[in-house]
Amino acid sequence: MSTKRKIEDYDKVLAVEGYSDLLFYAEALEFLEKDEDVYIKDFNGASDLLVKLEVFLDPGLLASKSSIGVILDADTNPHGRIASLTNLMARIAQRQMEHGVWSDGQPKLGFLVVPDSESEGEIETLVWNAWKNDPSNQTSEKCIEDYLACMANAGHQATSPDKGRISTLLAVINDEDPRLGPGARANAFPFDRDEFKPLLAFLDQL
Amino acid sequence: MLTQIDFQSFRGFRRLTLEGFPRVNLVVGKNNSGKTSFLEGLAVLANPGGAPEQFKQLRQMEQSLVMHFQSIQYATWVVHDESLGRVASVSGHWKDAMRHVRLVPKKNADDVILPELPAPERLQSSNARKQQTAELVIPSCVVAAQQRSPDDLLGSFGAAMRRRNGEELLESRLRAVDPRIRKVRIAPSGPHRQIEIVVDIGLSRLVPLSQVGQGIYRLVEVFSEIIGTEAKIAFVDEIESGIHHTCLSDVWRGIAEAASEFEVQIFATTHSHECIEAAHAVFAERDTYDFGIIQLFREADDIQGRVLQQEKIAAAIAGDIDLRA
Repeated sequence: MSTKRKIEDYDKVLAVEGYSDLLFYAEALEFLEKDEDVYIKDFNGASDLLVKLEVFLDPGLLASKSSIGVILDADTNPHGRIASLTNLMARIAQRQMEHGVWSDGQPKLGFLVVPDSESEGEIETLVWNAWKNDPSNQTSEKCIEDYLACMANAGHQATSPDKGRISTLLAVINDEDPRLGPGARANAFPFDRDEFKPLLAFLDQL
Repeated sequence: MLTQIDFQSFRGFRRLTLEGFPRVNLVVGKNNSGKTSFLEGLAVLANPGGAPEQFKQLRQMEQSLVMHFQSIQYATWVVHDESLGRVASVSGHWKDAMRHVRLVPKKNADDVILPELPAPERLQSSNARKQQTAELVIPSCVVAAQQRSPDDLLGSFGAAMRRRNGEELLESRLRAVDPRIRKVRIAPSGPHRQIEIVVDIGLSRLVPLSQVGQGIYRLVEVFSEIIGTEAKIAFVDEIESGIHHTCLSDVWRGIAEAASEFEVQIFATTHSHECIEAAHAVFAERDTYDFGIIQLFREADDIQGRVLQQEKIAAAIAGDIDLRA
């Protein structure tokens, strides 16, 4: 597992928001058979992400790695998140940066906002879309939506609807830990679906 | 206070420009990233004529090695790449003045290259009076990573005890680390009644400082220098040396108090993550967050750096990002 080793041991680095994300992206990299090549750094949560990223991407790291990728959630403002990341990484690396496009140089740099460049949400949004669009999950999807609607009617609205959906799903199919990362480790999500293709294509170039 | 520096062709630095130094600064970086050289550059700025002595202290030179300071091996390395025919220079901005010092390797009659450390050769300030002030030596002190002999500590320790609040501050910090400590003083001791620093830890006899423990010894050394030398700028190499990580918060509280009370600007180096976290936590508790981290990064044959202030330090610690560069 890549988290056991130190960052100095790796040539490639992927920066993500939190530990659950780290576990999820580790599984995605394993799906691509790249998990042994990449050190995944999580920022211990979503607060002050851009400041953390600016400190993390120090000259020593940039000089010592062959490629560094960043994947962050869009949350409520995908265009704003993309603009902020473009400006920050361009300033740090002194080169043009574009969402989802790896920029050549030393090191190769890229960033991706999920679920995609136009939609609000998080990585859970992408995962939920992939899972619910599988025809075999249509009945189960309705169960989850009905449950969440029932809870909302009772006064318990999910702060992040897609995180709520994923947690509800995992509470049944991976009840030991109903978070995204452990769910991915338990093979709860179909990485071969089309919805994951942009994410996997990005990771494959890391 | 020193607010900005510019090193050119000095030791490992091709060109390093940094600004925004607060009162207390922690210099971090991997081995051979230029931390001690950075302190040396600051020492040149504070006191060009006294810099050779401070170089020796920072490099912890034994007497046999002092000869190297006057040899081609040592002098050559003051300039980044002497073969290029450059001279080294260090510049610094204080609030009202700028100081620029050139270090010129020069062949003497014996054909040995020596660093020439002249008085500031160019000073710019807003008026002649300030210029005159800027020409004065800025009192500075050095605490090397390797502990000094008890005899070497006597002078600064005695002076620290004589300063207003000096004794109280030093003893309170020592007590925070070891509650047994009641008093620290200079007293005659041993069969020859020689003067030494002794510690009252509640035993029937006072204990020589050298017998109390490495951590307490280090704290006496650090605080004696900062308080006793009346320095305006202090250089402390590997500040955490000999101090257990659980005591670092108390040490930083003392450093913060001493720096503020005696108006000393401090530049210290560390390899310790716990040291960084403890310093941040202590300064975050204070009315003013007068603390910054200077990161140095070696890149091939150059060294780059940056200064981190509170927002970035706090975010890095929250994000479990290693600031030791």
